[in-house]
Amino acid sequence: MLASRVFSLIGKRTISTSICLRAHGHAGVVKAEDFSLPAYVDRRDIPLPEVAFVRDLSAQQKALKEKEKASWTALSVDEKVELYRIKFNETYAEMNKGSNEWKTVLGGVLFFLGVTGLILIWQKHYMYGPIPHTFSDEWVASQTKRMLDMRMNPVEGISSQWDFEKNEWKK
Amino acid sequence: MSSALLPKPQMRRLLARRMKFHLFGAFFVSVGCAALYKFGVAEPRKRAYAEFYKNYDPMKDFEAMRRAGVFESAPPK
Repeated sequence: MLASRVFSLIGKRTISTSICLRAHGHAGVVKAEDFSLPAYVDRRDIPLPEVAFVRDLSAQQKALKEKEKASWTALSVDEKVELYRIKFNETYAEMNKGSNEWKTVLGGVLFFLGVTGLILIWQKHYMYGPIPHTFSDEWVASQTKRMLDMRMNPVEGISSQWDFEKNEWKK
Repeated sequence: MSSALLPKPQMRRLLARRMKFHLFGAFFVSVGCAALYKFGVAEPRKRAYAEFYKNYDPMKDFEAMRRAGVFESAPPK
């Protein structure tokens, strides 16, 4: 209702051209696009979708639908299953069934991590320059000695691991 | 449809059951995490500090540091 009021306010020119052209061809009635009609979905939280799964019934299925209008006790088990399949695509069991997709995902992730690793190795070998001199063994040794001399982190840290009496690391 | 009917599944109180399970779980997991932290991290740390300061002589420590030469304003004698 409000939408039509909006249209009359804005004017008929704003209705899209394609629909206008088609409207002229079909006596003024616009053909509804497929995506604008209610759709069937297989979802756990929608037990009764808006439309049945099978839209265009074959002659056999139409006959079955007629039979459905009579007493249901007259239907055989196969007919009941056929009616179910007309209305629904997958059963809840089929819908909830897991797949092996996780293996593909995990494999892909690990593969690309490996590729990244190769790229990093190439970069370290061919691209990066030397690391700072402060990483050399001598520098790190004198650095650690200075840290111990000034009793850095004496309670739980590095100085707590050094035995100051015997001048060696604690066992 | 099989000739033997499937047992009727649980139809009601599904959320209540899930909530009860998760409430218990959340409580025990949180309490467990807290207990683990307390007895894995906090208590050992308190003990370490207590042990360190039990027989701590700051002057002796200072002299040792001075001898090593780390102080600018207190050079080794």
